Amino acid sequence: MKISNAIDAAELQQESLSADVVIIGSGAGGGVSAEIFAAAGFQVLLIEEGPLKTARDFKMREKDAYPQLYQESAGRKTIDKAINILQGRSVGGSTTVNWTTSFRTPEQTLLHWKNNFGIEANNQKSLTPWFETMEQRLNIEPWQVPANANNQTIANGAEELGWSYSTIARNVKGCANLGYCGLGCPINAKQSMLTTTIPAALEAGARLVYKARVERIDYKQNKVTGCQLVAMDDFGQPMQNSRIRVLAPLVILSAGAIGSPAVLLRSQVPDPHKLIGKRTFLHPTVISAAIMPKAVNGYAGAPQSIYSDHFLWPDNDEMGFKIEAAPLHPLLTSTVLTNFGQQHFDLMQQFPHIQGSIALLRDGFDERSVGGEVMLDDYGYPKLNYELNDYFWRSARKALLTMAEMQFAAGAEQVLPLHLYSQPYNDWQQAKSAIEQLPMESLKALVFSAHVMGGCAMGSDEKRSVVDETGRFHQLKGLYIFDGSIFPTSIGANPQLSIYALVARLASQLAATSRIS
Amino acid sequence: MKKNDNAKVNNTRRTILKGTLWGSLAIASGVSLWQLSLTESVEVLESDDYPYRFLNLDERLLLWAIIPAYLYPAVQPGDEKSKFVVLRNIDGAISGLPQSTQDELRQLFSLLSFQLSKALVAGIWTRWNKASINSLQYFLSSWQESYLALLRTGYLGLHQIIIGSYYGEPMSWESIGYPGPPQFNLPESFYEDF
Repeated sequence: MKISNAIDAAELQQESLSADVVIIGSGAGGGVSAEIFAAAGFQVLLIEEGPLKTARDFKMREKDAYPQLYQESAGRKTIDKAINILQGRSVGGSTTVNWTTSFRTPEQTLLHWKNNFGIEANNQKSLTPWFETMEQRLNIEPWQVPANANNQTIANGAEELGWSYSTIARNVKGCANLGYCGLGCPINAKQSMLTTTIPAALEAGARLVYKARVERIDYKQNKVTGCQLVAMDDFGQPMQNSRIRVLAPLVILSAGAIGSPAVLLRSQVPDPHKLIGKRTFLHPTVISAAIMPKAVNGYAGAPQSIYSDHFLWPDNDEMGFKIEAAPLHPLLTSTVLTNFGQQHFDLMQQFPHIQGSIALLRDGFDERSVGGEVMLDDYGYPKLNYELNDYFWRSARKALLTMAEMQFAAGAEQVLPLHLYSQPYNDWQQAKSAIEQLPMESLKALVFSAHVMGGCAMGSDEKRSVVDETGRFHQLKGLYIFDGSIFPTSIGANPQLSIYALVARLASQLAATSRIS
Repeated sequence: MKKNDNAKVNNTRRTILKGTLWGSLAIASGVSLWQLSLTESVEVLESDDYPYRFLNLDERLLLWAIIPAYLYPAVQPGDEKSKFVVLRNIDGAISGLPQSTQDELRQLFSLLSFQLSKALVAGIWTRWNKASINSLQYFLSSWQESYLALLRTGYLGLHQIIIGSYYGEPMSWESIGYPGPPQFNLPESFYEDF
């Protein structure tokens, strides 16, 4: 990486910077945008709130990786603390720490957007070439190596029960099958923004300022003029006496589904229909742990290689779910097993035998699923309010039942749905009657999320959307939002490739039609 | 959106903006009764000159007692070395959290201190340093099983920072059969190529 073009905001000597385009956020949306604009000859300034950490720093230790590479030390939560959100926060954003799972946006999702949000231009046909482009750029292809035992369990269970399942495509090149993707790839095999688009953008002259939070976007009359930054210290806290002003006629907001609404709310941009931050989606996720007869060693091997969409698009109007595996490392595993003392230690001693299955619920496709709302706390920091209602809990219970059945079909000795009042069950019948009785409520059943989407929905109707189909913010000139926040619902699949392809299409369009000032 | 929903959203917003998740139950308790009975631990913790960024002495005393309640038998009550490692990890973890979450954790510690004092007064145990692991674990169960979401939140919040601070450490790995991450030393040139 052309390191001379990257600088820690605290070490900046200038109080102001200028560029043709400033890109806020260096994750999937910002990374792709930076490469496209830099290649088109624009003077690009890329801003990242988190630190710059690279393969050299990635030691595969949870204790170091979570505070360095994740929002809120991997402990980000909704306001009521009922949902724990895993989201990246370093150069490369979540792409630096994701599990490399790559899916094209499901056709059903794009059709739903067309029928319900009037989204015409971003459709299966117009996006297909961009999926292909990004798959090539990031070396995305189905995983060729045999699945690790953690993933194979899903295949075995689904096979036994006659459910559909398939192999996951991954964005890796020269992957050594280590299993530590979530802690940053130590050998640069993961084709994240950190190793692909961002180095290419810097090579083409883009500048990167990291450990800098965008406090607000500036605008005059109805046109953006740039933004204001504050440097962040080593603990991710803002350094109040270090303000930097950025002048740029074009602002691309790519701070993700929690960050982008937060920047807009802090900037007090016009929001006549009160839509900013609304309809934020998470793929709320429930987990089922199984004790397998043979060691699974869920920490080793590609974290996700098998999935089942058998229950993703049910015939009725219930919320569907996608089944995948979750890699198991000791710190995170220990915190999701919610008992304490002897019972907790008994489970931890079976650590190598634990298999982790997760069900990601497809939120936002029904009027009973309106998602969450991003708000600001007293310090101007984003908080997500997300209410889990009966419509969600019905499918969450179904998902726990489904995973338990699958794990027993794959030979599990015991299954433990993650719930404050569950215990390891010894067979499917016992698990079934217990799960049917478990109280499905917030802070009893455990809920997680690794995908943040929505909050700045695109659409054709200005009264129902924050940006139009080109990503242009309806209310100001020169402001575009290119990230997962513009999805009007969740995706129904791990979102990285959906963001890459949509943003590649929108950013290429914008770069081709904008003038360099 | 229905009228009803609007009221709910506004209500939630008011709650957040005041930023007091635990505030209503965590009555400022001053010097807690139970802390006065902690003589032995006080000496150990007072002579610790580690530069804590967040945790004050009262909070360290509180955690000192509650760490083994969560972690026993993986961590023995008298295992000072492990308890110090966990304490420092907790301090480091909290230092990286946003300000409002730090405020909430202060309130949580205050609530915990208050509730423990109540338990002491109620005679669940007579002197703190005699409080057996059993009594403390009984106390944890009461939070875990509480009908109040607030206490369950507190139980889970403490669980995450205490248990996570232990199992992130190599000293915990042997007993659970985790070999640790693979070791390899790549030449400097490997990184330069990138």
